[in-house]
Amino acid sequence: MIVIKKVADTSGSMADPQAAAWKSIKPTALTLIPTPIGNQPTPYTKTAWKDRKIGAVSAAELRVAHDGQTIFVRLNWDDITENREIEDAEIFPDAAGVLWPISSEAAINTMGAEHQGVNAWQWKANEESGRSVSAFGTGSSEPNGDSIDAQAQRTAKGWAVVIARKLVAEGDAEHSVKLAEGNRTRLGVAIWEGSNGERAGYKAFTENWIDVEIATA
Amino acid sequence: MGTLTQSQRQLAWVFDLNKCIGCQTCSVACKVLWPGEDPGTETMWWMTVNTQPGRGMPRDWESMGGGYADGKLQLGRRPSAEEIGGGWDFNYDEVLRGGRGRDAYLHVTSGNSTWGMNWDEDEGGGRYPNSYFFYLPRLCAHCTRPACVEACPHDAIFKREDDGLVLINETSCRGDGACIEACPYKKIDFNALRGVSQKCIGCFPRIDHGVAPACVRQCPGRAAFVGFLDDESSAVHKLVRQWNVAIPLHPEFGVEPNVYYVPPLAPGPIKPDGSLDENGSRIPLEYLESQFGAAVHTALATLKAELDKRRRGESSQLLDTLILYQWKEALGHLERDPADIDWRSEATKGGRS
Repeated sequence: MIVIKKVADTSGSMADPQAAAWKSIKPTALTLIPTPIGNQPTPYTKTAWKDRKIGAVSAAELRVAHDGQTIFVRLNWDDITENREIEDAEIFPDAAGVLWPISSEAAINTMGAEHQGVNAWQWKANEESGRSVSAFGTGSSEPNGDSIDAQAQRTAKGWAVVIARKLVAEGDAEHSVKLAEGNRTRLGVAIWEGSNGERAGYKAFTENWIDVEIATA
Repeated sequence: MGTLTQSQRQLAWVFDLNKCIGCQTCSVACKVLWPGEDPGTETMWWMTVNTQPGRGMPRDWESMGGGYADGKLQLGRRPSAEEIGGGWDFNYDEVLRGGRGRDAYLHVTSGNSTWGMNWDEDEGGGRYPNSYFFYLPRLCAHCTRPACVEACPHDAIFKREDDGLVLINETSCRGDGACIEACPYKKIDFNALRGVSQKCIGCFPRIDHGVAPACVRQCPGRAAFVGFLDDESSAVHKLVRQWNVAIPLHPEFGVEPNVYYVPPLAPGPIKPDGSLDENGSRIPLEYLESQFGAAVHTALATLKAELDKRRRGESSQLLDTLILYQWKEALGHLERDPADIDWRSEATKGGRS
């Protein structure tokens, strides 16, 4: 269980991955595994990567905090290749995402299912702002219109990224995760390594949901 | 995901390769109307005309994979930016509007392309005096079995029920490029700026208003036809279904394309003694078979038989259809003049008029 501390973020600086305030948040070490090839959504995407290694990033550090208004998810991981664009020869932008269950029964490894939605907040190195999508099973993700702030910085070893959203979602309860102080929920993390051609279902992810509690203080 | 709805009707194109003169009017009509030259679309040509035999565009696209074999999707790859190529910018403003009279000459101001559309124009094949070439117009084939639809991990590509046009929903597209890999004709482009795949839209807003696609309507050589395959009065139906002289390019790709070609007839080769071999073909039949499959032989035989009829003074409905005395007969009843339409008011109505 990760307790998501409430911090006084008067300047809104926690959206910055290098903000000093992050030093007071305890990191959680994450182990990421490749997405199973059988979970790829189409026969083509199953076949295309059957002999390729999915999920080049196997570890990351997670820190989460909120200030009563906004929840900030900070991820950092090692990545010597900085991929900011879609390029020739199977290079895609590095990316990261945090996944929340909209319905408590939603499965993480299938991105939810019909009537069991999940909500992902994503950062992509070639996009200026973050993106929020809802999904009801693999391959079904659609933008849900929620505003996501995503800021990234290169570190000595790789990336540090903060993905943030207001606790109160703009979208409806079917497509957007509802978060509030005092609530318990779960989250998952995914990282795409662009130099390995990773995009869409080709990624590394936390195999199991991580329990979290949004603290009131 | 990747769900294919079969269409009630199918719109199809026919290009008569005996009439295509490679003027690129179709390519330019499409380029100007749709992808334009906005950032992200500069090198996009949804309609291309290339010289055959040739390496095509993207360069060597025929060896990039995709499509189906034995009913299974085949792996393909995305063409690189270099294989797609581009063009150059010239100092047109300086020369044409710069007021410098004869002191300014046209020169390249930027661009370092090493390939582009119709790069190997008119090189063709064979050796003098038996050299040969023909032009091959290509657009998205709006396939009956589109590999792109099945490949897309986001269900962003669909086939319209009313006319079988294959369209990309750019809202759902995430730019993963599986469609580009899976398309055996390599007729899907990538807009790196918007992060989405883009391709020929079959001029669907025009179709919805009874207007033929720009590539067909603008063809000065009367070499292009469009129509619904089940419309027995359309030239497309007659050429594809009745006479079997219009056949698909690379049928072995397995996607059942809806762009068809009347294969090129050629004069006989010139023999070493300078006489004409009237029974032979200057375009090697093996080459045509490698492009259009075995059906090319019966198509050519039918064309020759009908030509012989006309030479004997008889009439030929097939040749009349191909000659296209009335150009609007190429349009498959999509005859409306786009200039007669108030697009601002009709755009909101949708539906055919």
